[in-house]
Amino acid sequence: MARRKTEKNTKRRSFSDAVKPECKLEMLSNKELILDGCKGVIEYGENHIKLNTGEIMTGISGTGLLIKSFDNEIAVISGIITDITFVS
Amino acid sequence: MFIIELIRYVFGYVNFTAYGGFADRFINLCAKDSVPLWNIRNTGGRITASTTVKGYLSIRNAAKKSGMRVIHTDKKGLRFFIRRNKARVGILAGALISALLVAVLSQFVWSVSVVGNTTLENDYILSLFENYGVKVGAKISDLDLKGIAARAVNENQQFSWAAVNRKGAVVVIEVRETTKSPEMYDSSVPTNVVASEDGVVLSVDVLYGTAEIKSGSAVTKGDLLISGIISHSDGSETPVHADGHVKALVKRKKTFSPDSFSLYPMTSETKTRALFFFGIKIPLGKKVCESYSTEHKAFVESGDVLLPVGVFTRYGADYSEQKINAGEKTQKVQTLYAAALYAKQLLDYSDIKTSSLIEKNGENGRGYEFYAECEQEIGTLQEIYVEKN
Repeated sequence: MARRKTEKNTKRRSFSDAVKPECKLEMLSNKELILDGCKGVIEYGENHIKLNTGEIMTGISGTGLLIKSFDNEIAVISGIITDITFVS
Repeated sequence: MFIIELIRYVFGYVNFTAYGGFADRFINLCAKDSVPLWNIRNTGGRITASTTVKGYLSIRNAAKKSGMRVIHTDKKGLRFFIRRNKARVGILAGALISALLVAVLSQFVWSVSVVGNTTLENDYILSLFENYGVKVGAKISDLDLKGIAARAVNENQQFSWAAVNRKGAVVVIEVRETTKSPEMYDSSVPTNVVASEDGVVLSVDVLYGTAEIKSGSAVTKGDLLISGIISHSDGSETPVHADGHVKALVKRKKTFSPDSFSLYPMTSETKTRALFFFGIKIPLGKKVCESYSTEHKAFVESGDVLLPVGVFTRYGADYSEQKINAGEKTQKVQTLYAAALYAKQLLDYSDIKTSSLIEKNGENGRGYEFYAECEQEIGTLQEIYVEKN
């Protein structure tokens, strides 16, 4: 029973991953960044944040950076954003 | 967003500081354990963030695995506020009473204002609608706003349209005044245009008929200005309805003498106040004598809206029935005031080009003579009587 459940969950996860886009960024000027599809935080500093967004890593540079919210793979970064880099 | 902040406050949240381990791993583990975090700030290796009460209780696992030490710095929210002030019944009672007051008082009209009027005074319109029940302190559920607006238009010819709108507890009366229709003449009736006053013609604008005078001509009352008889080349004549505008410079003169004013001395003066609260007037003093009184209303203001709370001050005065002679200065002021009123009347139908006020000594004391030269319309229609053979 436990094995069947695990197999079902794996199938569900891979299906949702296939349908859902890797990551989606939405910016409000240079003050706020909403990132959908964030798997986790790799690096977190006041001037630099690196996030795991699946196949690529997203680096955000700026000043006074703050993770306003991080829940359900959605991260909201606020502060003065000066640079966004993508590393595969 | 305000709604999110409000929800967080209602359910309560905890501000905490975490230090000593791996901050990144800690955040990832919290996310994995579905612990909602917000306002995450990393300052020199210390993480400060906020989380829900439930989230804080389950944060221990993530802290342990990432080697972080977590200390709560602040607890905010309604539940913590209530817990801290459990013994203070007054706060709860005050909150309930104010909520009840707002709920009850919002059933009544707080303020009534008028918009859209041009010649009619606000006070006149407000007193008119007060007769229909629209007043401060009236119960909103008792007001049939559409019916009142329809009734106002039907019963008052001054209004061509009216609407009574309610925005919360504020009622706005919007009116459109009736525009007087121009006087219609029967154009089949033959008429001349004659002068209604003496003057010097400034301009002649003939709409129909034949002009008999030119600009610059002096005319007296009754002189023919525009003829309604049109002569044809064959000698025949046709009476028509003459029409046009003739403007002339008319001289005006009026004498004001001290005899024309009556002065009665004031024997007593009183002032009394009343507190006004949602239509209820609570007197704060003795009733004022009613022979002559005026009322001044002062309401509490909130921005542009007048609240239904204020102080009414009534000023009353009694006057002697015996007339007295006014001093020279008073006479002068009264005369000047009368002259100003007369000039204001002239302005209703003419354009004053020059004016002067000359002091003159008369039998009954000093008087004033007001002279003015006014530009006004002097043409008036006069019917032509045609004998039919």
